Amino acid sequence: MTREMRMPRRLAGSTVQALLVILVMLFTLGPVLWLIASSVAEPKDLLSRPPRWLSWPPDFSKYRELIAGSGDGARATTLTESTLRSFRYAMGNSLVTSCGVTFLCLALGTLSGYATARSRSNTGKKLIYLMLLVQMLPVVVLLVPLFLILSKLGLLDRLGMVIVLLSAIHLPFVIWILRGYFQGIPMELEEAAVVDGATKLQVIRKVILPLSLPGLFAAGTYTFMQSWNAFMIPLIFTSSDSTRTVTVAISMFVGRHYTDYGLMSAAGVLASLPPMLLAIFFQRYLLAGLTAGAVKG
Amino acid sequence: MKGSVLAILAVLSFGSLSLAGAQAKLTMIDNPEGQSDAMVALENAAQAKTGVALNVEVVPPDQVNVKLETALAAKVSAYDLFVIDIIDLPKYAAAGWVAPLNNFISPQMQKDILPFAKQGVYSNGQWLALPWKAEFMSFAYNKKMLSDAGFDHAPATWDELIKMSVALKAKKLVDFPMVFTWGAGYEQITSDYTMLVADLGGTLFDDKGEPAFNKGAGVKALQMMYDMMYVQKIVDPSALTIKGGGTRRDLLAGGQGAFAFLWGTPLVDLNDAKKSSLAGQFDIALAPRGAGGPYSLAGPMGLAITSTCKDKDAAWKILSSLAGPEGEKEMFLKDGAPTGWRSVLQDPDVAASLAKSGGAVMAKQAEYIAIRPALAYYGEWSSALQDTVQRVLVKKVGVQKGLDDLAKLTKELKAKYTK
Amino acid sequence: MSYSLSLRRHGAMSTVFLMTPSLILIFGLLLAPLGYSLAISLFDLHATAPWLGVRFVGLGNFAKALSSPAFGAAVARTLYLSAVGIGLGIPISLGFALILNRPFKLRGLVRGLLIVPWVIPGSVQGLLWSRIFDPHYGALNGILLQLGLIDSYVPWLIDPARALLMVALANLWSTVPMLTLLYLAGLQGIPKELYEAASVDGSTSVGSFWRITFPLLLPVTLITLILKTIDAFSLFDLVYILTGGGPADSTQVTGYYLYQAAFTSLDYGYASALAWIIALATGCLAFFYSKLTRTEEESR
Repeated sequence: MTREMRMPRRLAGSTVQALLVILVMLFTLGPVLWLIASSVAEPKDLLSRPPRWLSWPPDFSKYRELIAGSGDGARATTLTESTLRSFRYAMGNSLVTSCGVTFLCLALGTLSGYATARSRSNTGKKLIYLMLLVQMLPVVVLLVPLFLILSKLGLLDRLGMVIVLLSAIHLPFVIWILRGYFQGIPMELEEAAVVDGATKLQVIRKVILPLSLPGLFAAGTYTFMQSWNAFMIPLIFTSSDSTRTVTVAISMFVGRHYTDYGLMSAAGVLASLPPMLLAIFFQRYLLAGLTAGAVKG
Repeated sequence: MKGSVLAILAVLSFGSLSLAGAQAKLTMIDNPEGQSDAMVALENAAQAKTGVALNVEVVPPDQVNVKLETALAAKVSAYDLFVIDIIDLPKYAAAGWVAPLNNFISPQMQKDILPFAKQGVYSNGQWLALPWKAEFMSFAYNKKMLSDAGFDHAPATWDELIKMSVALKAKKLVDFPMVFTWGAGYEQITSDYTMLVADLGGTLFDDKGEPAFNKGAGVKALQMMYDMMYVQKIVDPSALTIKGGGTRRDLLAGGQGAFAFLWGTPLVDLNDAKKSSLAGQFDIALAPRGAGGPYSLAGPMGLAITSTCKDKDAAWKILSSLAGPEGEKEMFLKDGAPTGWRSVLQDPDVAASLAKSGGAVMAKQAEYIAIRPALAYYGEWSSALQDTVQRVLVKKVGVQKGLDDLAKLTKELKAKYTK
Repeated sequence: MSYSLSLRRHGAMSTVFLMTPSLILIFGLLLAPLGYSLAISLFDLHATAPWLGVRFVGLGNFAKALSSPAFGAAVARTLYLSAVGIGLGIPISLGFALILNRPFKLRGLVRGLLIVPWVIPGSVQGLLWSRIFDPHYGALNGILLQLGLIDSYVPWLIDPARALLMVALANLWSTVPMLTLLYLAGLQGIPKELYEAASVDGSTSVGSFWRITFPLLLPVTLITLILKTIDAFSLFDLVYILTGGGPADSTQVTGYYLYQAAFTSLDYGYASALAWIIALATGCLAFFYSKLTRTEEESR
């Protein structure tokens, strides 16, 4: 099916093609677009049957309420100011957690990734396989014992612990990704640095890291997204406003504030904002991170 | 080499970051619906008055007991104050998780506590909590909607309610007049069922403590729930996915229902123009009855101190400020939260507000109160009951079979939980 | 070259040392709890009835799990979920991939947007679909009503069978786009010469699809099958928010069943036994997966 053979049918084909592509986009983005539309809709538009699909002009008051809190305090539903405030804290907690996990994983991952990339025997590879095997286990197997241990130690409901736990879970994969990238760096460069008198750490800092920025970005964006989206671990290991992440805060919105759909939608949009931004702007890195595990041997 | 050391230090410091920040104040655990604006104001006032710092941890409702009981079982003093429901009292008392208040509570206070509220805070000679939102359900209805359909009074019996609902539906005034919320894993299912059984003249357990719900009124009650949903079609089937007392109130206040059972003093919010779009149209009446009496359900709660609390004196100070007569009076006037103190009921401001919000009816209702069974294994039993009701209402199992299975399970639970 | 090899590559000791912090983290937080979990599974901890004390039950919890109709039902529902995900997901994704394989304007952007459903947090997905499936004000009801396909609103999540299907479809939505991307990558790896040779031999486009495209995409398909099945066993966020396992447990999949056993019933021993059973099952699947990828690599 060479280009020349397709030429005469191109015009009709491209209209069909365009329609099909629109179909694909509707499937992919339809629900998300409706969520966004609901978040700026006027309440009565959402409560009509069928709902009015597009409200104009868009009403951003729900976002104002979520971000800055509302003024009058009296509300028609069971939504209280304390719930709004807890949502704001939750966004902050998610940010702290995701950054913390990403930093920890990249730091430790670099060291271990380098170690296993350059190990002489197969120790590195064996260790990684062991770690990956552990990672393939469903997280629930770990949750009960960790929960019991931490509750005995009184370490429940600490953001630091959540960061450490999530890091432990994502570390094997990060090591795997980085190892792949590090292996691609020619050893002559390292040797040159050693000849100049560099220690192992300096080699890492001056030679490896600058050359593996794509890899670091891939591992970093992937880890950030996974930590932001984590649900079960924050659900179980946090209980107060000061530690709860935004994914768990969302669960407090559903089913309770039955009629304030606009607010629920706005909360959903805000909670998805960082991963969506990452997906749109760093898509290449996210995909690289994801496929690195599947493809690289 | 140096890098590894640095990295180890990093991990350790992260770990200790989590160990640091030890709390110097008392911690109370509550769910979001309990933390209304009025409650937050009361908490701040109590802290200012007593000089005791209080940190309130707000946790999703189905997580409250999990987090609380885990901490108590591990003997970790993560929480100092908590809200205890009458259904949990036997278990917590038996497990020794609540600090007795006998040394703190004065004889004067003891006499001031209303009898039905006392059930929620007193067990086996021990005072275990101060009454907190000692409430029962009130039967609220939309007076205007009823008069639009030609009815000038609230239904006195369940048969009458069903007839009225069918008429309201036929006249297209409302799709599903009778508002219930029976979402998965929701305690309200047990409350509603218990109330209906009492209204129809039965009990859940007999005098010997054996299951009685799979005969007589127990069966009739569940059958009635099913019929209301599928035969008369006056209860919305999507009630099976909804939870929340606030939701029932909102549905009523939004004109999506005509009748609902609401906790607290519902008319305070229902007729408040700022909170309700149909303010002024609502009233309360005695619960409809069947062969039994016009029973409603009570859930007297208490505010208690954990046995793991390290500073019980400070805890008592702030507890009595929050849940004592003054605190409860505040909560009543602002939120309509019911009280367990006689002195509060007799207070002129409260009495005046009550008179406007159906106080006379509520006083009468207080004479017909049913409560849920006191079982050491209540949690599991209630879950099983909720499951049974849901399975019957999604037509997975018949009424009689469902209740018989539940009776069998109950006997197994009883055997498992006695030494 | 060998001179520099022995200079640069470090031995086992050095490897382990550099990896120490990672190893502490992983062994401390992942491996040690695994052992503890195994220990717990042999006891009945009676967390809700502390006056009964801790009792050793040996393999009792495992026996209870394997003979439990509730657990069996949960497993069945989970397999149903993956069947829907595979049965519908593969044809849809493949279709989408074929559509997007032809060059057109803005193709890069479209491909980029495919990743969006996958990155949305599970709990927000639950929120999203609870809004779409809402029996009174939902979008699905609205669209179907406007298109004239229904004449009154349907309560999607009430009927037990339908509720589970809805959950499966919601889960499908978040995975189809990623699968499309994988298929796209696979399609672009197929050399054009194969198609040209086939059309020279007189094959139609449908014919070349079945004879060339599909077989060459088989590895991706098989891997997807296994990965989707493994994932279905840990699905939790969506169910927790969307249905809470209900109504009447009709959407209680293994992930949720486990959560309830551990954190609602506080039956830690039983929950640990369940977790191990599920872990072993998914472990076997993961083993097959790694065997597949290994033979995949070797056959290249």
